[in-house]
Amino acid sequence: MPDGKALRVIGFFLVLLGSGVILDSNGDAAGAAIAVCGIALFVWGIGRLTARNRADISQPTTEGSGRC
Amino acid sequence: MSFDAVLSVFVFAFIAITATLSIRAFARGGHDLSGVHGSAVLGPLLRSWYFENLRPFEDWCVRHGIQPSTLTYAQFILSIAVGACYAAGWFFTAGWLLLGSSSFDIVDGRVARRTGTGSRQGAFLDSVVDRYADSFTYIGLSICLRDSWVLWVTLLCLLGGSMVSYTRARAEALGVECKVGLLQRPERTVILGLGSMFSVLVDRLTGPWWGMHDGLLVSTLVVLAVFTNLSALQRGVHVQRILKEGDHA
Repeated sequence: MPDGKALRVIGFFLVLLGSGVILDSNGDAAGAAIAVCGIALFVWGIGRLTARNRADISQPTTEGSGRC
Repeated sequence: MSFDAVLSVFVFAFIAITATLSIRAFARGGHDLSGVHGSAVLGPLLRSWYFENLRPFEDWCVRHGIQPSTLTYAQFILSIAVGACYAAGWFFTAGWLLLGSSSFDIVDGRVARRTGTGSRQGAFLDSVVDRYADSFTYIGLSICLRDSWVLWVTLLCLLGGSMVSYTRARAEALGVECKVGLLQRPERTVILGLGSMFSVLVDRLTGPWWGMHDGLLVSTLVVLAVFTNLSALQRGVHVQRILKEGDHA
C-alpha cells in the first residue's frame, strides 16, 4: 500500500485533474467524481501521515533513560 | 456566483493552502540546502521542497527498476499531451500537465544518479526531448491563439527558449561554461504552468480583462517572451566576453 506522502500527492493531482475536466471541458459529473476521489485520497494520505507521526512521538527511546 | 466561480475559489484555496503548509513544514524540518542550486526565481528552498515531494515517486522508480530513459520517453509523451491540451484551449489541464511532465525531467536525472545508470547518451536524449517538449507546448499554444496577436508573442517565447538552449550548447561545444540567464528551462516551465492554471481560475472569477479572455496567461506569455529573449541575449554577451578574453590572451 502506498505511504501517506504518495497518497497525498496522488490525491492532489486527482483534484487538479477533476477540476480541469470541469473548468476546461464542462464535464461536470466526471470531473466532480475524479475530484471527490482525489480529496478522499488526499485526506487519507494526511491521516496516515498524522498517525505515523503520532506513533513516532509515542515510541519510547533509551536515550537519556539513565541505563548504561 | 456561478458554479465555476465557486469551484475556482475552492481550487485556488486548495492549491494555496496545501502548498503553503507543505513548504512551511519542509522549512521547519531544517533540511540542508547547501548542495542545491537555486536561482532568483526558484530558490534552493522551493527546489528542495519540490524534490522532497517527488521522492516517493523517485523511490518507486528505483525499487521497480524503471530506467531513466523510460522516464524521459514518458516526458516526451506527456509533452505531446500538453501541446494537445493547449491546442484545445484546456489551459488549466495543460498547466498542471506541463508541471507534471517537467517532474519526469527532474526524476529521470535523479534516478540515473541513484542507480549509477547516468550516461552521455542519456544526457543527450534528455536535452533533445526537452527541446521537443518546449516546441510541443508553444506549437499547441500557437494553434489555439492563431487568430490573435498573442500568436506573435508565443512565437517569440518559442524563439527565446530555443536560443537560450542553443547559446549554451554552442558555448559548451567551444569549451565555455554557460549557466547564466534569469529564465532557464525550469523557471520558464513553472511560470507558464502556474500562469496557465491560475489564468483559468482568475478568468472564471473576474471575467475577461480588457475584453480579452485568459488575460493572466497572455500577461505570462508577454513576460516570458521578454525575459526569455533577454536571457538568451545575456548568455550571448557572457559567452562573447569570455571568448574575446580567451582570444586576446
